Amino acid sequence: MKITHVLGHNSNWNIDSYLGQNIGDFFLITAFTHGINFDSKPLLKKVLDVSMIDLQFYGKNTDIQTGKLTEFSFHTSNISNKENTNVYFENCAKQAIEFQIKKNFKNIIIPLFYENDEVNDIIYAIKTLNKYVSKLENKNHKYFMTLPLANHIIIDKDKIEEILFACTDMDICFDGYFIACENKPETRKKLTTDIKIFKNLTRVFKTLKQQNFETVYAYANWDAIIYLAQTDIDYITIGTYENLRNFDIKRFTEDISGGGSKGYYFSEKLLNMVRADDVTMLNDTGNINIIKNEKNIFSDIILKEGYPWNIHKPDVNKNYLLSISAMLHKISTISDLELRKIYVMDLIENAINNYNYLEGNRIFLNNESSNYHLNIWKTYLANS
Amino acid sequence: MASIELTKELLKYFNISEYKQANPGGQKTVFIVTINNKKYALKIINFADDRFEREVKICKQFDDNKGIPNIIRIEPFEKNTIIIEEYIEGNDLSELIKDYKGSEQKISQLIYAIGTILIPVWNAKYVHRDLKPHNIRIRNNGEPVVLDFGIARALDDESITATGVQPYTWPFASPEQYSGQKNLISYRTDFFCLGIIAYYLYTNSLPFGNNRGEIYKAFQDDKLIVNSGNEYIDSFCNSIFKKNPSERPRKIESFLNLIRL
Repeated sequence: MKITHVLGHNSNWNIDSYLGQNIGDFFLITAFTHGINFDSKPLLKKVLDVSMIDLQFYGKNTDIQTGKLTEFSFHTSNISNKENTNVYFENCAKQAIEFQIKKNFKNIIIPLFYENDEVNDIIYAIKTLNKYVSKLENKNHKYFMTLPLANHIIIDKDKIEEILFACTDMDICFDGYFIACENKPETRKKLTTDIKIFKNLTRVFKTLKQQNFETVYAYANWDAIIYLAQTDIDYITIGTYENLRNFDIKRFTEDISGGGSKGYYFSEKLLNMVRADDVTMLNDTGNINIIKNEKNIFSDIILKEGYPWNIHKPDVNKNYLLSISAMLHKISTISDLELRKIYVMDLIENAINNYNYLEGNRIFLNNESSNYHLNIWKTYLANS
Repeated sequence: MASIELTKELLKYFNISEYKQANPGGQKTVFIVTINNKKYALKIINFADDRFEREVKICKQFDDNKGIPNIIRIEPFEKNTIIIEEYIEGNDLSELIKDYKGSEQKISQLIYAIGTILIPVWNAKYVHRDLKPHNIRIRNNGEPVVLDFGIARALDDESITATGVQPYTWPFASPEQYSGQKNLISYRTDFFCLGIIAYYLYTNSLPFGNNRGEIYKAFQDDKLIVNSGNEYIDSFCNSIFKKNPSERPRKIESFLNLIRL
C-alpha cells in the first residue's frame, strides 16, 4: 500500500512532511489547485516521479467552480451547453490520457464525470474508454479508471453491482480503478455513519482487488481504516484540508470556502478529530493525555498550553498526516485479514473506552468531537 | 408426447428413408432421420423468429467446433422451416446422471470439456443461458456436445437486450436470471449454470432447492454456500456460486483453472 498525499491548497506541508519526516509514499496532484503549470513549480518538481494527477472532470454543470481547471484546453470545465454530449466528453477524456502520457506520469488516471445521474452513462464511459486504452501501444503506463461514486449510487447495492459488473468484464484492460466516494456526512459530523456506504464501498474495494485490479481510494478520510481492515488497497490518499478528505461535488459546483477556523486535533486514541476548543478544555482539566498521540512531534508542539490554534498552521495539519499515515501503514502490514480486522476492532474498542473514561471524568465532547461513529464501526466490522 | 408423422412429400423431398421423433424442444419438433444411410437430426420450425435465427447464426459461426452440432441444410418447406443438423450418436447427459454420481474426476473432465467448447462462443460475446443436462449430448466416445443455442444471447445485440421476459430453465438458472436482471447476464451466467450441473452430477440433487420457490428464496441470501460432501466439488462450486456476477471468475481461463483435472 502506498500512502498518497493529496496536493491541494498548501501542498508544501505535504511535501515537507514527506521530505522531512518520511510521511507518505506517493502524491496526487489536484488540477483544480495546481493548473497546467504544475510541473514548473519548484516544490512539485521534487516529487513528480512519485506523483499522479487527478484532472477532476467531476462537474458537468456549466456553472461549476473551475479553479485552475480551465487552464487545461481539453478540460470539460471549458464546456458549453452545445457541446454537452458523450462524444465531447470522450474526446476530452482521451486528450486527458494523452496529456498524462506526454507528461510522463506512470499512473494515468482516466477522468470521468461525477454528474452522471444514470449508471448506464458510467458504464458506457467505462466501455468506451476501455476500448480506447486497449488500442494504445505504450504499455509502460498503468491506467486507472475513475469511479466517482455519487451518494445515490454508493447507497444502492444494485447500482454498485451494475458498475462492478462492467468494471470486471473479461475485456477490461485497465490496471486499476481510482475510486472517489461521496459520503455526505451529516451536519457537524466529518464522517458518514451510513452502514449501506460501509457495506457497498467495502464490496467495491474487495471485488476489484479479488479480480486483480489495483485500487486507489481517493479523497479518503480516516474512516479508510475500516475498509483497509477488510481488504488490501493499493493507494489511500491523506489530505490536510477537509475538502481533500471528503469527496463532494459541491467543491466544483458551489463556492463552499468556509472562512477561518481554529482547527482540529486528530487523536489516534479517539479515532476522531477534536475541536481546538475541546483540546483547550482537556488541557485545562488535566485529561489531555487521554487523547494525546504518541510519537508525534507535531502533536507535542500543538498540545502545549497557549498554542495559538489555527487551521492554517502547518503543525495542526501535519499532526493528522503523521498520525493517519502511521495508522494506515501499521494496519496494512498485517497480512492476515482476520488478524487485521481484529487489530482495527481493538483500536475502535480502545477509542470507545477512552471516550467512556472522559465521560467518567465528566468531560462530554459534542458534535464532531463526540463519539458518533465508533459504535457503528464496531457493529459493522463485528458482523462483516 | 403426441406422435407426429412426417408427410410423404417431405420424406421424398429430403430423401429420408427412416425417421423417428425425438424429444420436442421449445418451439421446434425434432426427428432422427436417415438420409443416404446416415443419421441426421431434422428440426421443423413452425415459426422462425429471432431465436431461431440466432441459433442458426451461432451454429454456423462455430461450424468447426466439434462441440457444437453442424448445420447441414436449412430450407423452407411448405409453411415451416426445416433444419437438417449433424446427429450426435450417444445420450443426453440427463440420461446419464447416475453414471456421474460421486465421480469427481469424471465431472471435472466433463465441465472442463464443456468450458473449452464454449471459449470461442464466450469470446464472441454470446452467452448460452440455458446450460442443463438436457442440452448436453455425450457422444459414444464420451465427448460432450452443447445443444440448443435457441435462447443464447448476443451481448452486443441491443434489440434482444432491450426488453422482454428473460427465458431460463428454473433448476439450472442463476440468481440474475431469477431476478430478471438482464443487464447482468453474461458468460459468468454460464459459469454459474455449469457449477449447478457439476453439483447436480456429483450429488444427483439440486444445490439450491427442488422447486422455483425454494431456489428463489435461497437466492435472496447474499452468500450462497453449498456442501456436497466433497471438498473439491465444494471448492469449485463455491468459487462460482457468487450471487453477484462481478465476484465470479472474470476470465475464462480463471474459470477453467478452478477445475482440477
